[in-house]
Amino acid sequence: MNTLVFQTYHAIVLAAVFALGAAMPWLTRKDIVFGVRLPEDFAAGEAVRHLRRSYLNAYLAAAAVAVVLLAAQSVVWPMLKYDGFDVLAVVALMTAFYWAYRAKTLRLKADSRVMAGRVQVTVAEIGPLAPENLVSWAWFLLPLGLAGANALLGLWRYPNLPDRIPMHFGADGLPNSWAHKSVGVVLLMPVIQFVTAAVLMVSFWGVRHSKRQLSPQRPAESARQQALFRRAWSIFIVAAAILTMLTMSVIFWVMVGFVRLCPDAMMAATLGPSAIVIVYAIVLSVRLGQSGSRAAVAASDAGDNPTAVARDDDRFWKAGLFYCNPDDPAVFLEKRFGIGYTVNFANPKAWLFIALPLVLIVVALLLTRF
Amino acid sequence: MLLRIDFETDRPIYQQIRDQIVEGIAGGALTPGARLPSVRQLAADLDINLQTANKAYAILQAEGFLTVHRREGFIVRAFDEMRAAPGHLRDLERKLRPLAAEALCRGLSPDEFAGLCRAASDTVKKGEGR
Repeated sequence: MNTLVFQTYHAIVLAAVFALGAAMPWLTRKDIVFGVRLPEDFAAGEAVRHLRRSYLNAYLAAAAVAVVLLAAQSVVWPMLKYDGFDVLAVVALMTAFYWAYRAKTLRLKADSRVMAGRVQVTVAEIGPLAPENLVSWAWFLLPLGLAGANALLGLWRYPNLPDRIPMHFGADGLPNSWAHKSVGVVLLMPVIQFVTAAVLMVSFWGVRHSKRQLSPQRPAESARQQALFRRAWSIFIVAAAILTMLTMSVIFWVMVGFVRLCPDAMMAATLGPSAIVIVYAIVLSVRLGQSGSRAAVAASDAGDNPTAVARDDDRFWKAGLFYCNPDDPAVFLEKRFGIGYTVNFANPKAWLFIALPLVLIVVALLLTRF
Repeated sequence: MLLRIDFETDRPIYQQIRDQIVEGIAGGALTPGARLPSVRQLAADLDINLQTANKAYAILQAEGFLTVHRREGFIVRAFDEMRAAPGHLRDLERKLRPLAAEALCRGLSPDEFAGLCRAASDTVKKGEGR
């Protein structure tokens, strides 16, 4: 029964990711088409509309084939099913289509000479035009407090713990691996919680201080959309931090015998919050679009310029995915294709952020040794 | 307020920033006490060098339009302080001189030049677009 629930859940998530891939060209910024910088008026024209439609048809055909293949694979080699193989397949499919249509868009851009004779400008919002309406850091006291309380709980329960402690739970909600009792093993989960909270706090900072690329054609409107976008995703990060910490805490409480849960309740406690986070992310992505480009805001035509174009920054996006600009002090910025943020890979501060999850793994390995 | 950098003109970028911020203060888009973005944020948003953004703020600070607070960063100074800046009248006169010369060469009378000055002053004060 439990495995069936888990499989259904997995299939729904996979279907949602497939669907998001199909919708992606309609969710990105109005001046970025398949990762290529274009003037907004041109990107709204017939040539680009044709390109998007062609992408949708080809993508849906390929996705149908991929679904049949994945279903066949799960029958022939059932062992592969939970190894993330299907997720990898979906990501590979989306990337392949992105690259193919990025190449087409780059050709269209070159052939139509659309950038020639246009003024390249950048616009920044420096006054109280689009008030930030910041989300408070204090929200992080909740996940941090939970991690701290768990560390104390682990130490308090330590003398009464059995010699074998369950370390990992399967899809059915039952433990499937154990470790010998030690202080390191008991403190492993609270430490993982602290590092996870740290990663999310840095992301929260990153959203607030991300590079702001206003539309040069309608700067005031895009400033408001982006302020809305930053706020919505800041709230998302806080919510995701709290939900993830709750899930981890429930697992930890079962590990140290603080609570007893039947396998069904265990599964509900772990799948429930992650389902909320995924649905929340999809709803935000579709409602607001990348950069808030789909958000309705109070209209303003201050500073509008119907032909201006932002600086052509295509060359800084390696493979259309990785932003590498050593002259740019920005650490975090919006993704080129997809919803959310990425880092400036040419900035050493970004390397620190990427290394944080590695720190998590090293700490986990060290702790389980003593 | 919106700050716009034009990469096609030969006017230096730091000058474009400096002039627009002064105009923003004069037109009321930036009020005394208003916080400006950090040098880093400004450079990232405008796609310019860190040194260029730094230079623009440094000039504005030296001219007495901005002041820097340890926590708040760059903020717009109070109008009394801007008026009290030493030598600002002499500085203005020095900047006006080549323009006055140019106007005379083009056949504008002193009154006509004064009229132009007045119109420009009114436009800035109303905060109208450039």
